[in-house]
Amino acid sequence: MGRKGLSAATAGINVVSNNVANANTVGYSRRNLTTQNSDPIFQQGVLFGQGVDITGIVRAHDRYLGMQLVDAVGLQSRASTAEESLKLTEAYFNESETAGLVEVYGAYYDAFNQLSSDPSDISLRSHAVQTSERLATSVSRVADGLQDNINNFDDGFSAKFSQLNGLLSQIAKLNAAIGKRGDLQGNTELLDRRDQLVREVAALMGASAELDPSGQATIYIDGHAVVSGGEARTLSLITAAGVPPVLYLAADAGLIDVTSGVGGELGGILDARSYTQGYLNRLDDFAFTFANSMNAIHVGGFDNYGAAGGNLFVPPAAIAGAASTLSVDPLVSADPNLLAMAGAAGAAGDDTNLQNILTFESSASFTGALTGLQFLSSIVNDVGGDVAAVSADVEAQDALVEDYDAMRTSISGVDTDEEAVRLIEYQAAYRAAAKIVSATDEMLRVLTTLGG
Amino acid sequence: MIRATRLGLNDLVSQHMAKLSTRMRVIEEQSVTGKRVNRPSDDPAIVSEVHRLYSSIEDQTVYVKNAESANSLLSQADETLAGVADLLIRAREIAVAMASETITAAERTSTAPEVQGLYDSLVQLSNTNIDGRYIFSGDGYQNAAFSAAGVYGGANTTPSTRISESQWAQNGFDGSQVFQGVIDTFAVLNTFVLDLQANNVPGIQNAIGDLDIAFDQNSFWRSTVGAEVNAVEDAVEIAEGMSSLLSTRLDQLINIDETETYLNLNDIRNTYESVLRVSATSNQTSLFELI
Repeated sequence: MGRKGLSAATAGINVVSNNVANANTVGYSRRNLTTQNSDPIFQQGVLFGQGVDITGIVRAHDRYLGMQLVDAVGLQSRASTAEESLKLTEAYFNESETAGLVEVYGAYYDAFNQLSSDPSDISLRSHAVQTSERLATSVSRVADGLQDNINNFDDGFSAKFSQLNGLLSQIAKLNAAIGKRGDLQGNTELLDRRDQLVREVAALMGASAELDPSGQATIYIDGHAVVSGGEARTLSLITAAGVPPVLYLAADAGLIDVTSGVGGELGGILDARSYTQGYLNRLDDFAFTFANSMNAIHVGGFDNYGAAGGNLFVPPAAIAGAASTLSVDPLVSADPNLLAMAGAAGAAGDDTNLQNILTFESSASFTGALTGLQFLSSIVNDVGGDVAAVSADVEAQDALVEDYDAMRTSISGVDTDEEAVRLIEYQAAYRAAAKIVSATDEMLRVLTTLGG
Repeated sequence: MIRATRLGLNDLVSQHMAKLSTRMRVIEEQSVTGKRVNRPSDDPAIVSEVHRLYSSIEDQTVYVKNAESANSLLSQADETLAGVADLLIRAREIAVAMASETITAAERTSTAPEVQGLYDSLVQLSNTNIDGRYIFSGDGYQNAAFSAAGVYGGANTTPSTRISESQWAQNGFDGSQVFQGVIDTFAVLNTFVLDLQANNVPGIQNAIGDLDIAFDQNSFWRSTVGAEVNAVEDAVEIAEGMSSLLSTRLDQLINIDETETYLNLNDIRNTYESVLRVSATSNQTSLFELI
């Protein structure tokens, strides 16, 4: 009995040592030594206790909370990745600078307004051409920046995806090991490592998880199991220039598109990509409408040489890419006298066509029956609104994860003071058991002496 | 019972410190830029209004420039027409004097050069230009308005410049209307010269009436120019006032209240330091130290 007591106390001190050593280990669940009194023996009509047996070392863990945390980590990771990525896009719409799109668009009409004071003045004409070039450059710069971001998002998606199958495979292996051992209580190390990997997968792709009674985890994406027991299904990524990445799950029935169910960091990247592509599409729409409308007006006028006007902007070939390629017609760039401001040939002060250009400023010719300023402003407004909404989501998800994490830490975390108390208890138990061994030894020595 | 672990407490502290750092960074950025809104997401609700305000303020600046430019042309036009009025008054004085029966033919002939001089002055005044821009040539202001013979060389359309969202100010005039609309002022003076040279008293008497009509015609255009001057002066005043109002509104929307920002920053710094101290103190105590 003394030996059993010493063993139990030693095991308890080992558990405390392990807990203290892992006090700062992420994902570690504190261990508790479980014991029970040994089966008694019946001697001379009396039941005698046989000391203590160690029944196991169990981890402090709440299964339901663990699954909730997996879901929350996926949502938080998705929102924070989308926020970080979208802020890169927002940087291209920094309207507090004088080079903001809306500011430059306003300056374009201001230059033509100034030209109305003397349509034949070459310096005012040059200024109008320069502001036209500035507008085209600004639109094109923002469009190129957005496209760069989209390309970077795609690269980032591929880089992060490359970790995914490895993680799923590790989870499957740990699942298999947990199932093979068949001793749920004794699988503490494997369960901790597996749970940490599940949270990493959730952070990466926003999976949900279910734990079966044997302790094995099933990981789902878009309702499809990607890890089930000891088996991991392979996810494959299809990428092509100009289209969003697509994730396929290899299933018995063939490949299943699970992209819409992707969350976590990958989902956040897809969200930011989708937002950014939307802004780029609208900028293309703006550039296409603007360039074609300006050209339609410009060809109806007459230049400073009395000749009929040509294009003011290079005509965009299609809506897609119109923003990136927006540029002033090279002939007009080279000679501001080619600005066709007059309504008829000959008169230097004739600004009939210039007035048509200025009238277009307040014309609701853009998608949604908006003026150019309103249309551009709505893009910037949506960028700001989307970033703010995603940031608010991040705050909410952060708070949720912090709460769940605090609850998990409260249940599973190591409190060093608590461990110190338990250490004192086990030390005392050890000393007491040792005393029993010593007393028993003394008794035996007395008996041996009597027998001699 | 909630167990408070050291790791949990440290997590809590680091989360709070991260949030405080973020808030501190935001306020520091606001202090440096002087703006409450530094990117669209800082306050998406005001983005559209800020854009409208920026655009309108820039518009007002252009309207002021255009109106001031028009004002200088119109002032010159007013001065020119004042000169024409003086010229016509002098011509009428001569006509009245030369219509008298006591005046001899020789006296009338000798007066003709003075009237010819007035005619030449009229040609010169009608071709008034600023840096080569002829005020009375209409849209064709790069060409002289009148030849020495009083033939109009300008355009019949007139230039204008934008001085407000909906207002355009005329900054040039159709000389054929100003000097030849109701009556051809050049022809009146030219005929008057010929009548003096020919000692044509009835013709000279007719010239008095024609000069009166020419004077009235000139007065009409002076009042037209005056109305345009008033319009552009009003436009400058309105645009400057609007610009000031819009700038104030923009300032209210995007700029920081410096005192409030300074106090906020101080509050956050104090809280940050307090959290640090509490964290440091709580980490100093451990039961293990006492075993």
